[in-house]
Amino acid sequence: MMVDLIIFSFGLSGCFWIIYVFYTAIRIQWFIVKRYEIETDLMDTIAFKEHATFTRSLPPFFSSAMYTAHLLMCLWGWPIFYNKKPFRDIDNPAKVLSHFSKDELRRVRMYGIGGAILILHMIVAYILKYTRPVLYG
Amino acid sequence: MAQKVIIKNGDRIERILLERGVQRHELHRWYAKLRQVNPHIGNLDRIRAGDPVLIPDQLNEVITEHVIWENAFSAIPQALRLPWNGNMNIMLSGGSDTIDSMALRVFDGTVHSTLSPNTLRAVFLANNLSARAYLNGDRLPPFKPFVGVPVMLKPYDVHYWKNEITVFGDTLNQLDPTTRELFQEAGPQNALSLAEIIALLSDDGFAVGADDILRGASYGLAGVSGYAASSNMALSSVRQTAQRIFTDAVNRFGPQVATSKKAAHLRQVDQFIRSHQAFPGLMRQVQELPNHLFSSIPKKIVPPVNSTVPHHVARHFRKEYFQAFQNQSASRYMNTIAHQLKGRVSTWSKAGRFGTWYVPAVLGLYNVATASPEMRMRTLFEEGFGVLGGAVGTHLGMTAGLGIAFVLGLGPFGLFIAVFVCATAGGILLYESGKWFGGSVLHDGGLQLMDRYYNSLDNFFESCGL
Repeated sequence: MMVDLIIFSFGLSGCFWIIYVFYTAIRIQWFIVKRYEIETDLMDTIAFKEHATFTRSLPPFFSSAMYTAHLLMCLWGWPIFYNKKPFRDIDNPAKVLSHFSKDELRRVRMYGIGGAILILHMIVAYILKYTRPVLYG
Repeated sequence: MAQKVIIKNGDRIERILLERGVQRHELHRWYAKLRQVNPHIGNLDRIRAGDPVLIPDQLNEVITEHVIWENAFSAIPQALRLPWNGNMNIMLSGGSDTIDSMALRVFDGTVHSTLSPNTLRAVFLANNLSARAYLNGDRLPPFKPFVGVPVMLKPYDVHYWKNEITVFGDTLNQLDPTTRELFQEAGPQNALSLAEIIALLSDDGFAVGADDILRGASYGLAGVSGYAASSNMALSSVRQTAQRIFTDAVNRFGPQVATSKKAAHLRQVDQFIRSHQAFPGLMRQVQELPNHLFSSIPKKIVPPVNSTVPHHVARHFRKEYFQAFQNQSASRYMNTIAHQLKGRVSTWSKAGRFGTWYVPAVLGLYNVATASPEMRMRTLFEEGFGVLGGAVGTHLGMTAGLGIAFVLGLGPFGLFIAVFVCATAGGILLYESGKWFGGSVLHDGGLQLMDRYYNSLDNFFESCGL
């Protein structure tokens, strides 16, 4: 019974994080598309001019995912991405981050954390589904 | 801020710099800077009274291109700023030509040939944007075509000829070497005169040597140049007449009606234009436009009668003619296009929207309405979290896909594939997970907990010690 309760709580948690990440993604979309495409010249950077060239043509929900990823790379992934080809025209991540307020960067961080938690939930769910198919399939 | 100094008799750059406090050991650096900001001066040791020289306050001062060229062109007298109505002179650079020698050749034999060489150089640089690539004093590449007009062209004409001259350059390269050299050495006017003399002699029955006839081929080139001038003149007269009729229409109806797009106004103005006394003249001018400006369908099938005008030259001038219409408001022709489509585009877009959204929505609503309450509730949980999970999964997948693509440094195509695959995978995986979370665990598990272990919520809370 205890196991059932834990699994139920786990399902509840999964549903919560799905809603939370979706909500955060929508909140980010409200500012990030406008900021990248209209208010700043971030679209003129090599990452979007020579690599992710099709981003501007995507619907806002999907293009916001690309911009969020770009922002997360500058926010958390800089030690990995600083010498990568698409970032060869950006010597300092502050060049990108300075276009966003503290609150906006916090939302992007929460999206990253929420996304990671959700992916962990997904992995556990698939393990449960395939290891105990009779009970949880 | 840089200062403009007009050179007086006896002035030397060296003395001007020393008077301004420049040390002798710094002179070579100042010379380099002055060469950079005074492109109209070929040799700083050869300046004449009246030459404007731009002298910066400091060596590291940044002077904008606009200021540099404004100063360079400031010494060009008004007599050299008049419109040019003659043929476009095209000059070919020789093997040892520099910008200065080309500038002298342009003005050779004209009344302005005694002007300061720096002024002549400024005119040449003003007319030839391509010559600015050779400002470092190097020789010009041989057989490169340049505009050799002895006046300062208007900016529009300069940009027009910047592109146009490549067409003539191509034509010149097709000539045989003898003719090309003749043109290179004698210049366009002399080549044309020579060719005309040969043509007259031939017409009168004189025997002209084979070499001379070969050289006479350069007449073809000058002919092309003349063709360009005649086309421009013909088009300008058409424009003038059209402008006069339009001005009369504005005087008669007022600017609002004359430029209105309303059908009644268009009809009114159309009637006025057709009854205007200059209208037959305008139509005659249009009919008399050089043939190469228009090509009807039968003419396209057979080669043009005048073989001296190559296809690409004719195509170029045709483009120029139609560019005359580019200032018209787009709504003029867009309305016509929309009228001719008669709503066909919107029919297809409506069909697409119905097929994608409305028809499946109606089917779904029908299924929901006919389902049992239990099934309805379970579908709400299962599909609701499934769809939401799919959207979130696609979003997260794109984020991850871009990260992978950037780590690998992929180009646009590879990046698209990586993002597409990751987004699809993320969408499918989280769709299935969402369905499992919402349907199997939350809905079914909840019911099981309620039914199997607890009789009511109170029972559940009691067992939890709450």
